Amino acid sequence: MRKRIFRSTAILVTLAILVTFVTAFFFMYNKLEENMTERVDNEVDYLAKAVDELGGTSLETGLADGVTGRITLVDAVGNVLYDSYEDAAEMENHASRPEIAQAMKEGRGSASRYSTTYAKRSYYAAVRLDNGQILRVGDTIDSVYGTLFPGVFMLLLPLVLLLILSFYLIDRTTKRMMEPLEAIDLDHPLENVAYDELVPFLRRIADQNEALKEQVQERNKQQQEYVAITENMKDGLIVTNRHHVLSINRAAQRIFEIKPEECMGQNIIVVNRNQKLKEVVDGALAGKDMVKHMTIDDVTYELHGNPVIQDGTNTGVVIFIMDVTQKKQLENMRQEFSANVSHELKTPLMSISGYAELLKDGIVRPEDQKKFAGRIYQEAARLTTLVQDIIRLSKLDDENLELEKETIDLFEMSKEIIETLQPAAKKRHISISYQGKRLSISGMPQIIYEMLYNVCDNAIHYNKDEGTVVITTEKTEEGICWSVADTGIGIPLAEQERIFERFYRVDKSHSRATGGTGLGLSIVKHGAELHGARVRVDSAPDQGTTITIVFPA
Amino acid sequence: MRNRFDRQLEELHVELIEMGSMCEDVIRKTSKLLQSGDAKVAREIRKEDSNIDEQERLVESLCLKLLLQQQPVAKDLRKVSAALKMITDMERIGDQASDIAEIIETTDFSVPTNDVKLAKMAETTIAMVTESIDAYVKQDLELVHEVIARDDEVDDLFLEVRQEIADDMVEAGDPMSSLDLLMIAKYFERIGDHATNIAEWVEFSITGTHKDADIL
Repeated sequence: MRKRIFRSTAILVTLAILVTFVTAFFFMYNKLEENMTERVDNEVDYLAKAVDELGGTSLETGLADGVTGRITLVDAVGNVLYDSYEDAAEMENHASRPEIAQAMKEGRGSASRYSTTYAKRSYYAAVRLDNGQILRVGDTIDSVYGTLFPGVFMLLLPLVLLLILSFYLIDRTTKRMMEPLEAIDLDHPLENVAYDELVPFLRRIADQNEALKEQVQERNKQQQEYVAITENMKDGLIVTNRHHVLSINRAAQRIFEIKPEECMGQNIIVVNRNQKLKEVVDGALAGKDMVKHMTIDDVTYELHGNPVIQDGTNTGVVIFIMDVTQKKQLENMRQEFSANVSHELKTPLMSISGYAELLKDGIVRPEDQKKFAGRIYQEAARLTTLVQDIIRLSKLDDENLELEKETIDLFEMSKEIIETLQPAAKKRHISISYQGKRLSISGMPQIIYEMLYNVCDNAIHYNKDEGTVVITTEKTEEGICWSVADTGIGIPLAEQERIFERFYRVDKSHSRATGGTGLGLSIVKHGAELHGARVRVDSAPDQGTTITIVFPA
Repeated sequence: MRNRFDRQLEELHVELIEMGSMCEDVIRKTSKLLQSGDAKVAREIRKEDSNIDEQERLVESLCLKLLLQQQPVAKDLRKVSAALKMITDMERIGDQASDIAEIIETTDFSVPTNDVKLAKMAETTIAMVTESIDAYVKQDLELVHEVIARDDEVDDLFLEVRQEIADDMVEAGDPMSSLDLLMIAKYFERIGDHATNIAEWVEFSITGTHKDADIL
């Protein structure tokens, strides 16, 4: 804006000066020319009278000294007799000059001539003397343009000065005008109105400011809510624009071990190059809702990819990442449990129905009948134990189970168990011993007995012939420890966590060489949970196993 | 035009990561095959190897197109030329995995599953390949140096495995399967070298220095 003001002012000032100058010049020039012709006319009249009185020679003797113009005297036929500027003898005949010709004819003549070469304007006036001779006076001034051009250059200096002055003034004025405008605080536009003309404009700004502030606040609130939700949730969340990451929450950063600055705005493949993630993104971009499982370092994640649809076009993907390792494990366990339970129930039943069929058909020799019945009885007993174990377990599962707690002497109970198991141990030449102090705990006797019995039973069952079993009780910082150490076949480290699962057996063949239902340690675990106790396994293959139950003191 | 250039560069980046991911996958499968000897896995590996070859051609043509059409300079040029070198190593990793699969498939010998050292070698090379690709994805110099340092680990393991095999040869007197085992160990050692090469080219694409020498 200031530039434009400067430009138009410059044009205006220049034009004004030029127009004024030119007008003044022409006026002055006309006056000058008029003056000159008048002077020349007067001079010729005056000189003519003097020459008439004094004779032609008087010109050469000083008469012409006071005259500025050029004086020429010619005879009646035009030969130059005298010239004040040049040698008369060398001058040509002047009869043809218009002013002289006119004077010869009419007694007086005048003419004005213009010389383009010298840019001069000349004026001549001639008068016929009494003796027939012609007296001419001429004078010369610069022509209009000859006078004008040097003047124009003289004009430049004031022009430049004027322009500088006007620029300075404009600068000052516009600054003074703009100062209050620039000082307006646009955050509070109505508090300092510089010009009344601006009020409607400022009011509008004030309204918009208000609206804007509300919107920003609203947006900030929404943003905070979004961040609070996404950053604190346990599951990973990634939002993409087509293939590029727009946002990735903390959980997802942790899962994929990536920092936001490493992947923001980058292709999703940078986050993780697992094929499954790519499939989810591609599928979602094709408009499908995708669910896939993906495993990173033994952790299974479920990926959900959903398309983001804006105005009918698919603009991105929201990817949800959930840790489903536990769910997956539980699923596997359930599957294994049902497979196991049906296997465990079916095997004795098959034996029973097989033997019974033989008996029914009468194929069995009478002397063998007793043996067969014995087998059927054995298998039925097995089934009964199994069903009893299952019932016990489900009882323990019942959280509301509340039996009366009593004080139990671990020593007494261990002794009782040793006596019960002694025959089985003797058969395999296994020695059982007890060491430690007499310690008592508070608990439900039936369940504690069941637990300790199962652990001791296992120690004998999975022992080697002529092995030893040592039961120890001691009081430590953790609480009251009751442990059984055997010298048996041991449990590989990888299996140690799983032995407490129902029907889980280290020996996958489900061999019944050792008997047992596969539920014993499950019962131990559940019983321990009921009493707030912990079960610890310490074992190495072929080295033996120590199982410790730690009761809270 | 520049927009198109950026798009092409990104495409190259993505396809290269994809190829890296395929390599990781194929050697992970190889290590699994080593334990199970499952013929189905061996077939999968060979198929994956041909996929890697295809991917190599794709990345190669992307690189050449970029060089020809965009005449990249400075960092971009380094990226493209490093990519050209990296895919050669990745392709070799695929080949070597496929070679291991072939040995296991054609000769019916079973790798002693309790061969802890060979398993450790496989594990280390997998980690090296993964880390070298990671280094490329994250443009991480620290990871680059880790990978390069790990190569010695694999080399040492190879020497140990070789010693074991030599002892076995004398004791068990089954030279054929011992030789096969040695070949497998050597292939793993080579895969480790290729992972190191990849890491070195990643360093070049970041810094312009390859094996401590300015080559561009």
